[in-house]
Amino acid sequence: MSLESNGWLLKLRGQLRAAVGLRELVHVLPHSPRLYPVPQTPPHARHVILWEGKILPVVDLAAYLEAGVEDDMGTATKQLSLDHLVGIVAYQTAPATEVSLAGMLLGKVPERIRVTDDQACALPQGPAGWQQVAISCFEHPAHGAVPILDLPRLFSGRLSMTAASAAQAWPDYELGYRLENSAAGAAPMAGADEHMGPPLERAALAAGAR
Amino acid sequence: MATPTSASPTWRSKHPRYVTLTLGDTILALPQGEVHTLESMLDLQPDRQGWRIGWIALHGQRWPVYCPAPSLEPLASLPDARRICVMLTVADGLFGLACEAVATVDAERLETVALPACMSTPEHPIGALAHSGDDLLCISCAADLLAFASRTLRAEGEYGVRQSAPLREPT
Repeated sequence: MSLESNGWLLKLRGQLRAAVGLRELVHVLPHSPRLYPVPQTPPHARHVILWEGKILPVVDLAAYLEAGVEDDMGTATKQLSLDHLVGIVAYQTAPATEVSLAGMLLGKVPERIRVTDDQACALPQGPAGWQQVAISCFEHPAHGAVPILDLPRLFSGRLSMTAASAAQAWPDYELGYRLENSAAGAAPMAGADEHMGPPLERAALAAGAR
Repeated sequence: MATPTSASPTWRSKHPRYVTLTLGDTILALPQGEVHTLESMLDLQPDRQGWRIGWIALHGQRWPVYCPAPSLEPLASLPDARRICVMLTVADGLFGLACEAVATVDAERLETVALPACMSTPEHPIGALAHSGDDLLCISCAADLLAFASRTLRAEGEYGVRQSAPLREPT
């Protein structure tokens, strides 16, 4: 039997898409929220945002993935449009640890999705950086292979400075990572269906196993 | 909420007040105790080399002055808006930073967080962040800023500030 998982399809800047679990996206800030630059930071994490009185890092995943393509690493920041969105995501670095919040630059409002085991597929051939930030991948009927993000890794500081420098082979994960396997205690995005889908049958290659 | 813990211990020590230095879009916050004096950039003796844009004479000696961009890297030219030179105290003496505006803020009003792990790099000159109203403050200290400048110069094949010459020079 093929079981369903619930999640969010994220449209990044450019044509890149990724997915996170239902409870990993807690809020979306439309209308180009103010981004504060911080000196001497990696090109994909140049800004923070003030949200609910907290200072949160904002990762531009598209900038990280495309860093090897662009000539100027500073281009990513310069390309920030005036109509960007920021998704507030929640993650845990280990079980039973506190939930951390962070921001992700988005190109459009996220879209609810349901994914089954049958949709599992290999990561896209490019950009190479997907291997660093994805824990699994599924085949979307309209958009092709969509990586599922490993948020703890994305915000851990363990990423190489550029996706291009992270060309080492990465295991091909199955879809065994549950989209619902999200930060415990994180509130779902406002207005979201809180339904938790059934667990996937396959043995999980959970993020913490890495 | 999880609090990052990667910051250097420098910013953690008790500082009742911080001095904020405006460098374009970047606002640095340094412990007030590290500020020696405020000088006018009109008193600058231009002498550009590496990071240094010139000298300020104080106490019978002259001290290097730097003009960092919002990115903290050296600016090629001195913007007109940089009219204040904040003289900072380090173990070897003094150095100055050209900035646009200077203010003070009570540490009690600030809730600081360590620089997020995904933004940090080894020996990052910013130890922590805080917000004051709508402003983001990048908390550092004079020694860390000077060390950053020295590392940058070495990376560029030049001598570091301390290696090239002692801070103080006779006027």
